[in-house]
Amino acid sequence: MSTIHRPTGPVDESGPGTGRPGLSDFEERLLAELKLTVAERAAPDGSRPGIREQATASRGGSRRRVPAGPGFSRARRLGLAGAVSAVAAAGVVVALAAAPGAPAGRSAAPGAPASRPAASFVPAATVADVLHNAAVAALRLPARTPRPNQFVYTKVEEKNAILSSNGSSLAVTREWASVSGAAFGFWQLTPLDAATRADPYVGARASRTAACVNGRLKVPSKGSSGSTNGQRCSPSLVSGYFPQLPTHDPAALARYLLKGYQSSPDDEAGNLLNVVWQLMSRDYLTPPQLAALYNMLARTPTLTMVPQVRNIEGTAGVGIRSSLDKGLYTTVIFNPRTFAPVGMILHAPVKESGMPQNGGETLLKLAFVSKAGQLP
Amino acid sequence: LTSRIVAGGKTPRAPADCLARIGDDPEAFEAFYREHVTPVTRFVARRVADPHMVADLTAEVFLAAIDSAHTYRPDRAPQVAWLYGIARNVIAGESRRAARELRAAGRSVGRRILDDDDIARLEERIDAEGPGRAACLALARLPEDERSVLELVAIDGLAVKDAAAALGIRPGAARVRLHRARRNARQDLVSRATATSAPALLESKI
Repeated sequence: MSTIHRPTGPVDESGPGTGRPGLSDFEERLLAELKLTVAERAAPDGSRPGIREQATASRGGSRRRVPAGPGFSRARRLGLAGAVSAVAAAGVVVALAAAPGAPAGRSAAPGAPASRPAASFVPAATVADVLHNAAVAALRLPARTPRPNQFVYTKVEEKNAILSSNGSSLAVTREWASVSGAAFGFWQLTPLDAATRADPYVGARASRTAACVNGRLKVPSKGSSGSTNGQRCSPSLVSGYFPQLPTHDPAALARYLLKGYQSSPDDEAGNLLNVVWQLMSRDYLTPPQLAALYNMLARTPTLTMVPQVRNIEGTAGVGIRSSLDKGLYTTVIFNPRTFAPVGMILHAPVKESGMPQNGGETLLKLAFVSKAGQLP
Repeated sequence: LTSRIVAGGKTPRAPADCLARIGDDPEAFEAFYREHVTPVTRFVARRVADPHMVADLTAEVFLAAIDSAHTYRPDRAPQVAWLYGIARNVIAGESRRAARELRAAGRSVGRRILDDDDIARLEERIDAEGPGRAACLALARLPEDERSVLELVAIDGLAVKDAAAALGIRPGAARVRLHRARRNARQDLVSRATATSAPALLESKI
């Protein structure tokens, strides 16, 4: 091998907590991700989830909910946090219903269509029926308009949906995404079992996330107020609220989402289903936006209905399923009576992979809070 | 890994058959990764100053390596030169993509999730590569074909023939470009009075 010159002095390469002198924590996690990708390529049907989707998500946006966690890209931002009016009093935590149930609440929130479909459920016999009912239920939710200086707080339980060394994990991730995008957000992963807690690739992790200030990306730095790295940005890069989603036209909405979030060119439906789950579980969507997304999915071919399926907590519901890749499925689950979303599950049937065979996510809480890190 | 990389020294090369297997053998890939992740990260850090971007691009370099392992010819270039060639393409592609995306959609894109410790360590590395990064910037006025050779030789430490392999050109062509680049860089540096360390670093190398 050719000589490698050190342009500068040595850098300490020992990574804390890795148990493998030489690489940092990040490099060890990256190695684990990449090895999964190699294993995926070597699998007979190539169906395992791997880093490739993460990397493409990182470059162009996410379309599928693949194992997310430390070291993984979390392409979740879209939209633009525009001018929003104040609704909640300063310092007051506004808890949002993660499931429908509150009546009325019709609003002029962003994304509201000029006219709404009749707000009644139909017998849930098809994909379109289920999604119609979900849209109806969404429109019954109370609309909220967050203040620009607030944060969208989400708490998601993730089972086998994050990278782990033993292929099994259970954790809760909390995110605080700035409504305006102008403030640092925060992300925190809390293992829920001993194995996940002790996993060198997972563990308990937390990090501030970037902000967009005056059109420039501001990256959090340890022990400082952050540095502007010069990269141009829009607030949508980091915000958790997207008032400008093109919700009036399902076809335009699909194009909009696929434009930046498509990872699998051959699987438009899978991309859309996962983008929708990603948005509804990590960001605040207004009732009209939710309804528009469901209506868009209802027009998406190749999705299938699963009459009964359980989320990772065992709650039964009716599922909308998409095949993301050969052998890998994702299913968004709705309560069969209220048609509120109750979770998403992944099916990865390849047993040789060493990857989680089944996993998923459940949105436990969605709220507005005043500070990153504040609990509702 | 640190012990393998010695200023002015040699880094043992992983067996060629190891590289050929990195696309479908996780253990072979691990050996390859452990040997090369530091030089690749440094290569990226000499060109990018954002820790998140360094993390993402480092991952992409190895992904591209996994995809194109079958193209590696051990008789033509050492592994690190081959990787640097990939890294150059990844970084160039990222620049084009970023500009296009920012223009077109103004929306983003996720980043690898880094905690504060990750960021601190990557920033250490980025800081350590500051002179190299400044040197790259100092060469920005050179034509691309000259600059690319000079960067790989003077800043990244490749031999001329290895730089040629990384760029996919003949060694003779690389030497000609390098000669022109050195001459032009010296003229440029002389003409620019600057107090940064980059010209000093470059002058010592070119």
